Amino acid sequence: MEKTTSTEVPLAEMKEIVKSFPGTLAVDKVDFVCNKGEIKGLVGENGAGKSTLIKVLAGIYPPDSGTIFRKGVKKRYRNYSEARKDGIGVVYQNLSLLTELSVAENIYMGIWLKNRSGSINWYEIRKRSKKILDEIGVDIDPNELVSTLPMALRQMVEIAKVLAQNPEIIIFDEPTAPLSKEEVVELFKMLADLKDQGKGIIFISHRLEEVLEIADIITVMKDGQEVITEKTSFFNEDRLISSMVGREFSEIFPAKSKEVKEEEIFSFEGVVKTSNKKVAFSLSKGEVLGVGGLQGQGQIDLLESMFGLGGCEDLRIKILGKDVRVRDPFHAMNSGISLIPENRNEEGLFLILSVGENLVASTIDKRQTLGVIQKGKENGVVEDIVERLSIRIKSINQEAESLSGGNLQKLVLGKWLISDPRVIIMLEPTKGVDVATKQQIYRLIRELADNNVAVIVYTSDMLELIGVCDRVLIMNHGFLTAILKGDDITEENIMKASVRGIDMLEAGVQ
Amino acid sequence: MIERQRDLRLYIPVYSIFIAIYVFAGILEPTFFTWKNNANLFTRITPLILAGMAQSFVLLSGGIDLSIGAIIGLSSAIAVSLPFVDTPLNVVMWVLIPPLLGLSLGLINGVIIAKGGFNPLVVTLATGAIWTGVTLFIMPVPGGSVSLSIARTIPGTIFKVIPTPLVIFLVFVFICHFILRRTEFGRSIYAIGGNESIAYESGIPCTRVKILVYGMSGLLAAFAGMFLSAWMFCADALIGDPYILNSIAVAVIAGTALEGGRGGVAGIIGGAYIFLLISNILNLLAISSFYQFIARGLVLILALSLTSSGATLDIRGILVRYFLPRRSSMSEIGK
Repeated sequence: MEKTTSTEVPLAEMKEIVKSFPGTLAVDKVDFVCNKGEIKGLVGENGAGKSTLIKVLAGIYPPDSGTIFRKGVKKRYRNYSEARKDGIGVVYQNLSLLTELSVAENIYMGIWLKNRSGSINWYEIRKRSKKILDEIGVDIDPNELVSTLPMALRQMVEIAKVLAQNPEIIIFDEPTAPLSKEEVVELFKMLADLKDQGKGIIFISHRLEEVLEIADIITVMKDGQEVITEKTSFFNEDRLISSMVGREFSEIFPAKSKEVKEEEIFSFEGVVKTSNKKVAFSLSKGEVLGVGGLQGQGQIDLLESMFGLGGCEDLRIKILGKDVRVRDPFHAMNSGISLIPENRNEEGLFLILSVGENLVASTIDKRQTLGVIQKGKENGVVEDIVERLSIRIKSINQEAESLSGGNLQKLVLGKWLISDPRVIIMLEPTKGVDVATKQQIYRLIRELADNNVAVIVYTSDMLELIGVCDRVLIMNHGFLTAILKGDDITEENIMKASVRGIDMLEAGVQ
Repeated sequence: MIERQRDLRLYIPVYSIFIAIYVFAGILEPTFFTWKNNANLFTRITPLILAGMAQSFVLLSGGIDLSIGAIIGLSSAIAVSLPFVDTPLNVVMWVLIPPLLGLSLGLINGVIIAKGGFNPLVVTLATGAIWTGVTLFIMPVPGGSVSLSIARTIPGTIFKVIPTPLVIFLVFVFICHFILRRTEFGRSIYAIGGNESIAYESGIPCTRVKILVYGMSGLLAAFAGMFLSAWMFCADALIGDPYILNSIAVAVIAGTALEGGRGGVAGIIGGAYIFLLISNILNLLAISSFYQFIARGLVLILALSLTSSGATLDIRGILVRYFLPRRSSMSEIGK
């Protein structure tokens, strides 16, 4: 076959890509094209399927169905290495740099240049690294250890690492997240250069104003599907937001509290370390507080600090009007605060222990006489909670490992419910569980709130914020950008507070 | 060289401590500085250096090798079981067979660990036990012999002046350092030890490199075993046992991180000397050998604080700041 590099053949084309994970359909029949000399923006909410789509293109996830064409030739990459050799480079959001090695070595990792004798030619590696770094306008000594560089410069090294392979398609997954405004300007200059060199660029970002500025064409995704693909001139920020949101509201949420009594049961004050901004909020009786915003905007820092895991300074926490000091998780639990981690398999449960042992793990001291655990009492408590949460098990001696995702989540919830918390913080309580289990968890959350437990839920699912919570905090870059209540909790308001530019934040929250 | 700055940061503390201890020993006992004592030290330190480097390779890749002692024992037993009449052929056999054996035993470890995905600690503990068993079968009581020319040369001198052990360990350290710094294999070890999934995604053949790392460890351990047999003029199945843990201690003192990805072999001579001289000094001070164990333990803990950069007690950080201030000018984006 004759090689034709005409402009009509796209650098990469994905057709009818489907990718599902247990419990979710992450990408649902999406078509995606990347052309030569074009910057393509890809936007959507958390969990819209952007990252999954890109990972399918880069060979990290194999698609369930659908095909990838590279310059018109059908391809099937088994891993990222193969895609990388075929000219696809990904600048990851979580950097893939080895911090104990030098900048130059990271850039040429795996593609070491060698002397005729077969030994590594450090001189050449250093020289070429310097050249690549110069081309993208960064002045870093290639001998510097990556661990000594600030995040922004590490990002540039990551970009240089991708460029060293001379890829035709470069995917930028949230590249601007760690960068300051001036650094973003530099990055955009570099993107424009790469575009002029005829590279195809895919740009994923939550900052809509940036996408509108740099992209030639924008694809919006929602719930794993492609909503619209249009030239950038077609969009403005409002239009982008409205195509990202606007879903049917389903029936899975329980009714919210009818009347909220203005009786404060929990209050929090603290300074987020990463942004050095003060955050304060309180919670009234019967309320469920939601914490939202884009991922990684300081929400986890905020919530973990309530459990004594750092992240915030100058903490002032009050429970039922009384000051509480939270030095570490042990203190937090004694004060009645509990935190249900997101990664339940690794942080929340002992998978090799039995259901019963897991449920009582955090409250062993409560049911002992003279230092001996009272098995009878323990079994009673366990059976109670299994019934209350309708955890489906054959016996309480069954190993936790053998349970499904939804049941595991209930197990974690049960473990903390036994400890009778006054404040319960849940991180992504419904991640990876099916709809029926979600419904049960929502009902449980509501039940807890009705019983005067302060419930705080961090979730990246917008529907959950709207459907479950009475009060919603939105965080952006470590700033608390909005506290929404009642009818103000809408997708538009949440999205606006989540994506506002930093300059507006600096102006507004001084 | 690209690595020089980093090497200095890591090895200046090791060698300064070594020199301090060395001088201290000399002050305690003036005969310490004599050529004879030093030649004796060269001999005693060589197997420790070889075993320490064997362990360093594995530690750098994020693994651990507890079969080093067994490989030392087996290779020395094989070395003394070979025909010892002084003929060129016998010498060649002595030089070739034990290392090939050590290499293959190491490769077996590597295949089980890398292909099978098993925990290196348990695998090498198990294979080590098996090989010690085999050695005891070959040589139930200490014995055997080596050819005279080998026994004279190895612990002796070259041209009647240069101590052979000094030449041996310098050559080995140089080769290992070169492999780690200047070859694809060496750099891959650091990448895998730093973060295996990143290494894999960067196109490094992780399985192959890991197998070779254990092979390298077995090879170096076999050389240590051969050296011991030439020095002792006989072999003992259990001669390698102390080297299992001592090799880890020496590697760690020499600046290799137990978590992998950080360190090297350039500090190994200093590390081995520190380890050896501690008991030497305590001997000179006529302190009971019970206390020597305690002292070694304390040195090891000190060494951990030297090499773990994340430790709360960051002695390395303090020393680095003191000896080698970091460059103050941080480069910035844009010009």
